[in-house]
Amino acid sequence: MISLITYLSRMNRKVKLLIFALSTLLITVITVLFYIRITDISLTEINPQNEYSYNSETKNKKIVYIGVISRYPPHIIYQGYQPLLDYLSACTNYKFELKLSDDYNSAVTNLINKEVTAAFLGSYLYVKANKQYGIKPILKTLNEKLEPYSRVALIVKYGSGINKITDLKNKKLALPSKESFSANWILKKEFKKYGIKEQDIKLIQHFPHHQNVINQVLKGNFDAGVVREQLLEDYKNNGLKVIEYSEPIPTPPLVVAPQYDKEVIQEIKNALLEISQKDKIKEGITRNWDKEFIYGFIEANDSDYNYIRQVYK
Amino acid sequence: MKRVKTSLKTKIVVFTGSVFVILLLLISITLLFQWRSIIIDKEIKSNFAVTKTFAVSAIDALIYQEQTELQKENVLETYVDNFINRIDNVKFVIIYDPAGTLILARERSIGNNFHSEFASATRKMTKDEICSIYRHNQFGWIMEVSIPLSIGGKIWGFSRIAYNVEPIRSEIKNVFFLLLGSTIIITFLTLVVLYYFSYRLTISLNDLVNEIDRINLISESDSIDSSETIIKASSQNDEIGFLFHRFNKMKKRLEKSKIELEIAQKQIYQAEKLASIGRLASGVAHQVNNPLNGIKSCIYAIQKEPENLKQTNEYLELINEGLNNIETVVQKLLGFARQEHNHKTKIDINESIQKVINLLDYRLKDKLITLNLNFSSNLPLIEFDYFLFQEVIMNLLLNSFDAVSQNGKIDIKTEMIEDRLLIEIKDNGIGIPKENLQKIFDPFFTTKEVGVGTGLGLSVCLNIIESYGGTISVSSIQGEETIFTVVIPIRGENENINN
Repeated sequence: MISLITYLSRMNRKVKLLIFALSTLLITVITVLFYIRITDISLTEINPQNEYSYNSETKNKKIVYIGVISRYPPHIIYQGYQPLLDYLSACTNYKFELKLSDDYNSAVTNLINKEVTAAFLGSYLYVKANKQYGIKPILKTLNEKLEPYSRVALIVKYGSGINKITDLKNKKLALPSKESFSANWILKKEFKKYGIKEQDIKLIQHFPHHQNVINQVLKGNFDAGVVREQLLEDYKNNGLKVIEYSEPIPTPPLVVAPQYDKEVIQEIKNALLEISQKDKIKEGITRNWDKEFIYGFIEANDSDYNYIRQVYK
Repeated sequence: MKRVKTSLKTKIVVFTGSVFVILLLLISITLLFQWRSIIIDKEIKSNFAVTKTFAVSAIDALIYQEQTELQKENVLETYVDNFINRIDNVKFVIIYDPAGTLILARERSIGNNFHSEFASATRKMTKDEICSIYRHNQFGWIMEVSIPLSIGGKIWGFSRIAYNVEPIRSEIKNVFFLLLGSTIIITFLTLVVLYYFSYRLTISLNDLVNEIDRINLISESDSIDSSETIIKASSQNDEIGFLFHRFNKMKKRLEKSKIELEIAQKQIYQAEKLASIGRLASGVAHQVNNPLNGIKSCIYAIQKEPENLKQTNEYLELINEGLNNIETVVQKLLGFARQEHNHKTKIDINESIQKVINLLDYRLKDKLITLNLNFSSNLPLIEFDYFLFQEVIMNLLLNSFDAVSQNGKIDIKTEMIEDRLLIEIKDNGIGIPKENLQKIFDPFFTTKEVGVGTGLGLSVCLNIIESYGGTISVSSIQGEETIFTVVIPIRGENENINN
């Protein structure tokens, strides 16, 4: 570098000027080219979908529809239930598709009408449908302790001043469907237990989905609400407080009509019962499934729901 | 003083400046690409987020239509129209079914053939999320985000949404010009600062160089007030100041050495002079002896015939003449041996040489040497120490006398050549071997027997002549001749001999 400087300094003035001019020109050209390069922002980026996928060809398989009660909004039901159906499609000789229902009762109607082969119902609705149509439970879900029980919770907002059920008098109460266990637990069991009449409550309103109930309480439109316990995990940092839990109740069943396709149901049972094995859970197969299904299934009998029958007779 | 072609200042400014500018450019370019990447990534993430949010509602709409068996476009169209109207930077939205057939296409600008252009279009379904930025003929720079409308294995179709990315391109342009401007300004400021500091540095060094140029190592006689010669030290408390300080110390040591050298030189000169006197001694003794013998003979004759007054008077005159001769010889000898130096006077070269020849007269006669003098008559007087000049000539002539044999010949010539005075002493003696020609001016080099020569004669001559800015050269043909040529400048160096 120093030698170069010495060499350049020995050149005559004209050569120096020429070198300076050429250098300036070169720098200008490089700057312009660099400007063109830097402002050319064209690119293509592909994000492969990393969701757990089942490499199974389902095009030629017979389609089997599975019903589900509309306890959640449609896209949430798909997010939680579609991966389970994808798993079934991969593990069986059938392709499974969801059939949503407009309300709780239409899920039962679809089953009786054989529009769906099996359906995920709530415990309370099952007891009612069993009595009415003789539908049967084949499987029920397990909780994180691998027990077939779940709970519902009475929720309020922090700072609402409601700390026990008796504080609900003259307050507004949001509930899921009339056909849900959650709604019947508070209205038929807890109110009776604490001597509260429905007239004592300022307003009782039923909403189509459990999420609606949570949102209404969070917005402050309602003072309290009753929802399934497992949903609260997603909202635990949003200022909700549980003031009362139900006793453990049988988890919701997968049910079939009195006359059902035994071959299909057997394949469904075989595939889903495998899930409860711990190694399957560890593999992450159920990672994107609805929280209710994460820990797998166990065989269900009608007698498992006698407790609910007795309580709400 | 020789002028510096590439100054230290230039080197510092160009080298440091170049390194700094290159580093600055690299940093700026890295920063620019990083910034550009952040801007684009942020836009991609933002548009992906908007598209995914759109997809949730689009899927809801498609599910709803699936359930209620309404015409799909009824719900979707309303939703997509609202989406385009609410999100300013959306250029168009296209939705395909899983088979890749167009379901719906909407654009922001109305009044063109966009819809018909895509109405019959099909596109291959992909389950991957794709983002591409490109320049569209109609919409300019757009970012097209394509994602499947699916949940798990259930696919309702896929959407393509184009977003306007001209603003982020403008942002990148602004960043480019900002960094370019900053780089230019910082470079300019850096070069100015570098120039200033290098100027400060080099001006101190230039001061030092100027002071060095002014240095005149003083002689003993001038060293009365050495404080005057101390270089004005730099006030900087840094390496330059330190350099000044050390240089002053070195200069003092040099001055001391110079004085010691001068003393040593004088001692050598004197020693050599005494040696020359030794070499003269035999001749001098002869010159003194001859008159003494004459005087003794006269005294003997006077004592033998004291009554012969005529003879007595005649012999007394002879005695007086002999004593005068002895006195003359002794005076000449004393004059040569006297220690007087550095007394510059205007001297006549020819006359000075003649005086030395007179002193050596007996040697000429002793060896019957023929001496040819070819003195130029128009020589100017020169500034020289009379005694030092005589010492030089004495040494050269003694060497010639030693070199020539009986009946030998010595030619002495003086002349002016331009502004230089030339003295040439040529003898037809034994000559000097070629291998010794380079060595004869070395101190203590002699070919004479031990005790005869000191080996300092020619060295001292050279030293004296060079101190007056002159030269001595020698040429010799062995067995034939030897020529010593002394050249002394008349002006310039001769006038500034002390320098």
